[in-house]
Amino acid sequence: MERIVTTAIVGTGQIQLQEASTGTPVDALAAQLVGEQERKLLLTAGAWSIYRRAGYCARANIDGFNPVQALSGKDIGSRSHPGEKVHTPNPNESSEDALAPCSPRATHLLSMLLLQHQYKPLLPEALARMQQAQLRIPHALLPLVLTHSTQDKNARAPLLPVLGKRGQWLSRFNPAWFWVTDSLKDAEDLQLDTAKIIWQEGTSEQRRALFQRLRAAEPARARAWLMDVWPQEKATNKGNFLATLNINLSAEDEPFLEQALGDRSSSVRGTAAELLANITTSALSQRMRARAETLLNYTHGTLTVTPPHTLELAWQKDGIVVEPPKHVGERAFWLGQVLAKVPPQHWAQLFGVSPAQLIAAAKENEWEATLIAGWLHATTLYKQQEWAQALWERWLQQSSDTPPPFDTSLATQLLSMLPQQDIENAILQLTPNAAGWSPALTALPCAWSHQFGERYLQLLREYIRSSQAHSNQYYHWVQSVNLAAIALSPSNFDLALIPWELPASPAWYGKLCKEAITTLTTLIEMRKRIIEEIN
Amino acid sequence: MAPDASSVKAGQKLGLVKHWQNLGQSAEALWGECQGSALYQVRVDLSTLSIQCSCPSRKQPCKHGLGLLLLTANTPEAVPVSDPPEWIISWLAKRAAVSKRKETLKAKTNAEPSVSQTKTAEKRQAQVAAGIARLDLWLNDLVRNGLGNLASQPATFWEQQAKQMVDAQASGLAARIRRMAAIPNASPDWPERLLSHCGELALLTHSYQHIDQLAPALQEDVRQLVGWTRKEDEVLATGEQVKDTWIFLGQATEPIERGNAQRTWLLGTQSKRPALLLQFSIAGSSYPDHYPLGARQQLELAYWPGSAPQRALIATRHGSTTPQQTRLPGVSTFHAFLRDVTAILARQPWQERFLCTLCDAIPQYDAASNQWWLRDSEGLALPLTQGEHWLLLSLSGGHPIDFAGEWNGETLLPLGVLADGAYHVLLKEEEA
Repeated sequence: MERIVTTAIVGTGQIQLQEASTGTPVDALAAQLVGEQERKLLLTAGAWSIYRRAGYCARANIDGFNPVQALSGKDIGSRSHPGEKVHTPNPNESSEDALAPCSPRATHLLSMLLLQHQYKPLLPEALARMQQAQLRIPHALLPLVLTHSTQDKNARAPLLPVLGKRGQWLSRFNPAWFWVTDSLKDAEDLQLDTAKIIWQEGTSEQRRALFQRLRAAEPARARAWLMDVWPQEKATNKGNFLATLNINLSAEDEPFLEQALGDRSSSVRGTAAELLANITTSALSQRMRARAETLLNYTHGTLTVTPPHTLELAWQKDGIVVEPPKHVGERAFWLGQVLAKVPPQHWAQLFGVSPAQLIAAAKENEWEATLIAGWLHATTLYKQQEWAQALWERWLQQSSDTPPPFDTSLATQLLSMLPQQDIENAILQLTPNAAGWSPALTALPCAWSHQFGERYLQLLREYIRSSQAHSNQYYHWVQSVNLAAIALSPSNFDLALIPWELPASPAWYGKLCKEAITTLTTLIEMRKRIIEEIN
Repeated sequence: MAPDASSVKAGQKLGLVKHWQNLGQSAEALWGECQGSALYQVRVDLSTLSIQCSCPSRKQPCKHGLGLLLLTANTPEAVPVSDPPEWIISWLAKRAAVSKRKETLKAKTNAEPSVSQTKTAEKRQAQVAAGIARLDLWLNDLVRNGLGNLASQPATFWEQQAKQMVDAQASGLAARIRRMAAIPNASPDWPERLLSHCGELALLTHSYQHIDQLAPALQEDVRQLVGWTRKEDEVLATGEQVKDTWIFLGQATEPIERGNAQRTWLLGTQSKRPALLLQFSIAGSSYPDHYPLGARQQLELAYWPGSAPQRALIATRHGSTTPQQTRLPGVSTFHAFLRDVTAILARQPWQERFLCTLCDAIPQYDAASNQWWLRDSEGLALPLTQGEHWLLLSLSGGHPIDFAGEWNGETLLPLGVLADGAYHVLLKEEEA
């Protein structure tokens, strides 16, 4: 620190030897000053400050490297001599793009989608259209769109193909955007050396992403890697990695899964048991089927259910949990777990009946709720469409039953297993009870058929015109509008934009309807613009 | 040009044809009627982009005006060229009359000052001189007792002294003292910074006391820095006028006592001279003018007098604005830029901000230290002001771009860049 600064900090009143040197030519100028010590010091400090500001030099060496340069092994600090142009290509540069930039109007449209909260749900559609048209995000919007997709994971997949070279390049500099590079890496260009380093030293999210890619590309190697680290992993990691084996699951995985079945953590055991059950040839699958056959019997149209009274140790070892949750009997709990691990088609073959017949036979049974729940889980696990259809039919009849054997969210899961046409038909069967079908809409893919959209709009108009505020269905209708705005087919747009007749009373209800319809029409008009301008 | 982010949103909503009727444009103006809670008449003077609307909103410009501009930009076919209706003709006529009145005023100021004006000026001279004498004693005390003691002083310690300078009609000195209040403990080298500030302040009071020994242009600088203002009319009448095609490079705002100060930087394409347009927003009021950032326009600017003229105002506008799409008339190395800074400081040592237009610049991010840099074609670098400069990096893509920024002696604040044949204004946060 220069003398003048130390003197100023302590104060001229405190220091005997009052020195105010700056170590610069300013000192010579200061020597000519006369008057009080304090004034002399201040004037010298002023001149020194301006002297330094005027003599400021740009830095030749920038601290540190950025990731790209660090990888390429080039030093940014090394510079050419003044006046000489740098000819070597900058390792920083992003290369030329094959995709075309979008028009100024499309750019403006995109910025509206990104900046205005209400339009954000339309972003995936706009991005998909850009991909179709072989366009890329304009450079000026890249930081905005990357930030948005970092928060909204649904917007990631449609963004990747339209990021362009510049976007991919940019994302390598911001740790928050590293997901771009991670998801762009193809399974083929998985570099085993670097992958091994990530596998050993990466964060758990990086490791999970890597393991998924590896398992998809080389199932056997992935299993071998996991077996290597297995003894040292934490239970949560074990569970996550083990669940990933679901990708490309085969009989070759059985020995390792059998080993995992003996793990200390119950959730790891559970995952292993589920995977083993999914390998139909596995010893566990066979054991489960044998057990299940002792529990169910079907003769002459009657279903006999004999849940176990005690839980054998061998069953527990195969992942059957002993302790039931509150309000569930242990016999029902055990029964349900076994049923969930038997492919549902096994019963139809064993007893020579259709799923519908079996479900109908369960109707009279005291264990019906458990049976349905078990079959439902098995249906989702083994992706059995025929059973999904049959269980769905059962769900439609449930209104007369008390208590209903299964709830709406499970029904939605069932629906989503059916082909779109069947789901649409199924939903239309539910009308006009909005409480019934509004949650079921989420089972539909986000592009409704023309016929379905037409019917939906017709029902919505009828409902709003009839002003059934008292029916308590408005909540479901309003909810459905948000989904419809995104999912309606473009061929339904004109129908949606025909002016709506809104109820005037009661006032709160009129306002609610008006808001919902405004949301619908605003989003539809925006989607119209997206289709017009992004092509 | 919107006053805040919510206005941008509201404006974008209104930028659809369905909200409008009687749309039209001519060479001078743009107009339309917007259906809000009532039917509002919206008009835009195309030479200045000033917007007037019959709505009661206090925001300037209001959402209707922004909506009309966005509509015209996005769907020009919706706004046909036509004869202006009566309400536009009369409005334009009124605006012309106002600017004429300003010119008459300008003529008046050229007249000799009256006796009473001379007396007021003399009285103020005395007040300022007394204030400065007190300030010098205070500065001496600071140094005598040691700057180290100032770390624990409350904000009132500085504010009190600043108020005294306001009372002495030396508002420039008051502003400097207020800036000093923020220095203690703000950085590891704060005593050195504070000493520099005190020193430059002492140099200023010293120069004011010996003002007769300075060159006339520097006398102007010193008087203005102390707080003697030049009225805009005076500048129009007596200031140096430069006619050029000027580029509106960008804007920066800074909080000041009771409001905000906005700096808009312009660069002359022929003269290569920088110009700074200053505007103030006090107690939430809006800025009087809106500038077409990123565009170029033929203007006649009048500079405030001084030895390194920087602050200016627009005297006359010629022609309309066009977007800036060609390369910036800047320097090619930091070496050249910093040499210019040195030359300016040699003429006006208190100059604090400098316009930096650098061609072939490359932004760079050092993640380890979270520091952004701007590198010139020789590989030398200056640090960028703390902030998120991802847009800058995205526009550059590692390729050289033409950069415009404001240098404060320590860091560069990005104002805008020309990349891929288009100029992009870089504004902080949501001011876009």
